[in-house]
Amino acid sequence: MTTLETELKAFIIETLNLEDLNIEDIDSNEALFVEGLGLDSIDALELGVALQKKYDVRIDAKSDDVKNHFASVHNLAKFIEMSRGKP
Amino acid sequence: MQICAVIPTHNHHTALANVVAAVRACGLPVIIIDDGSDALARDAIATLHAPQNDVVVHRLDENGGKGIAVMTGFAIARRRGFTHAVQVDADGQHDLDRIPDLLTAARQHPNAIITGKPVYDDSVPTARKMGRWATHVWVWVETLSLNIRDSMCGFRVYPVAASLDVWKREGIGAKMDFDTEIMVRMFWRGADVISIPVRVIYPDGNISNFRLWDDNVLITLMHFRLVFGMLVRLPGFVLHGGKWQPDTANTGARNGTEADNISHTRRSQHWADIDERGMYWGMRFLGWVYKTGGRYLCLGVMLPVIVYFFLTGDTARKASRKYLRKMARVNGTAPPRWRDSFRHFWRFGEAALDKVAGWSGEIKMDDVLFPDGQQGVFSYLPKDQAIVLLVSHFGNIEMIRALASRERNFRVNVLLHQKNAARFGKVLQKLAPESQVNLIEVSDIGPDTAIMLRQKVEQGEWVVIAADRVAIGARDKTVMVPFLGDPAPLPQGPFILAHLLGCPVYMAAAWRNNNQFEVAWEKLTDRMVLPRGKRVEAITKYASQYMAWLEPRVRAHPMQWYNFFDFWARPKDKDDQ
Repeated sequence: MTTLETELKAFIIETLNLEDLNIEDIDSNEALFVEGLGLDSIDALELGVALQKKYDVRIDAKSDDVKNHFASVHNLAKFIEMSRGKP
Repeated sequence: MQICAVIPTHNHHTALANVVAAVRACGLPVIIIDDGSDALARDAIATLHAPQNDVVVHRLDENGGKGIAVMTGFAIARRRGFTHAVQVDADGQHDLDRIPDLLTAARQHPNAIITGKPVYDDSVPTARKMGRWATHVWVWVETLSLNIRDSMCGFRVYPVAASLDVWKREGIGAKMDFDTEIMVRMFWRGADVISIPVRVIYPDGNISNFRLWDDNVLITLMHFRLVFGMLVRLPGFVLHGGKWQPDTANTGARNGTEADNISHTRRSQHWADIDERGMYWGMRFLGWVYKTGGRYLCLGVMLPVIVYFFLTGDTARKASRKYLRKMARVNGTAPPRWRDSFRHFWRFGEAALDKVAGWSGEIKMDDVLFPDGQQGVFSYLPKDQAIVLLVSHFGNIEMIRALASRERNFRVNVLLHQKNAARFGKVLQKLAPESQVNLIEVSDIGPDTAIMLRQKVEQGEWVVIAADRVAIGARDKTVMVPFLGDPAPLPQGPFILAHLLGCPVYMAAAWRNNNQFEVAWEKLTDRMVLPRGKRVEAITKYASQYMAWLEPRVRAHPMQWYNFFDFWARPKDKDDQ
């Protein structure tokens, strides 16, 4: 588990007020939405807004990748690292 | 097809020889009608008579006006076997280099009127431009179409027999009102109008036969005649599915390809398709009428338009009836008659006018009734307090936007999810360029929109969103909320957005109360919270609170509800999970 993934889990818990969860409760490869953590589309929006602010990543709602990027903490970390890699 | 040129003249003779020479150079025989010119001009005109060179001068001893002169010329043309006539003015204002283009168009569209459409540069005085636009808008109303792009330019090709027929059967003004009136009346009879762009030439030392007072009266009377004529013909127009003549009338004219530079607008274009620029000028014109002629003249101009919408807007009329029936049931009043529906439409027209007035600064703070001793809109809110404002299509919410941006310098972002609304809004914005209103067209609210609006909220700006319309075709989910006794779908989007933006949420409405405007607003919540797992319940609660706040106001002013679609129809929630 990378530090970014841990950071992201804490960030998700904080942003979405998931008080009953701890970092250890979230599996990096577990689905964030619907099945796994049971988050919904409003959470996705909320998370998207917060991520954009904190990590300065550009989320294009029209691209199909969004679903993939937001599928799990692991994917999200990869997406953020990729965005940072770009000049 | 046999074509000649007809040149009417009243005292114009200095440029006439050159005009005749230019027309002859195109190979057209010329018929000059001297319309009772004074002695000096008469003699000069008479010298041009040269039958061996195909130029004839016909003298009318009494000045009868342009219409009489042109029609005399057409009668002579018909006797001599001509089927079409190019009408050219004698003062040299017409761009005669374009005669071949007019002739080409006439050959392709033998039943149509081919008209020059002057292209003006920026040097034209504004008053003149406005005057031309006034006539354009009148003619659009009179023909219920935008096909006639210019009705004042006399440089035209007419089908001779059809023109004489219209002249004989209908009372057409013979003076300065001739050019416009014959065109509108021939259009009613099924003639296409094809425009060819032409240059405008202002010859030196030109004398104008235009008499400021008399001719303006003549032209105003003509428009009254034509609006009346339009209304009389309206049932036929509706019967033929938005055409003045049954479809077979003019099909022959539409065969053949179009020449270059010919703007031939389709017959099917109506007010609903009016483009932004045309609408902008139309509204500028309306604003101008409002300023000079007042509200009632404005309503007079709009009457035919509203009648038209009422007669042709089937869905809207039915929706209005359904709404009025529910309203009558809830209010315990008599069931609605058809004239109540018309009044409903009429109020909608008035509201559009109020919007124009509100944005052009015509409505003063004295005209506005504030609740409970408030002095201005949201006067108690701190300057940098961002809020989400939920509004609806009741009354005239533009009033609040206009007042808020004018009085308090609030920066306001308005979300619109319909193309037409966005278009209308842009036009309004042009009327008040200094207003700090930002119109945002959204089809559905994704991360992009949410992030952008979040930034605006952080800067203390307002977000205004209509809570009573489900975006058409968008994946907008709905909640069912009671309105006038029956459940109606409201969009979830505005409430989700309010939740994401995390600022206080207000409800607001403004409506007309006789000659004044009333405004009302109330805080819905300091922070809209939609807890996970119970989101739909929470949205339903907030949406019900909103409608419960709005409903008594709508019931007090039932005619000001401007949702002309079936408000209670459940949308097909195929994306519901």
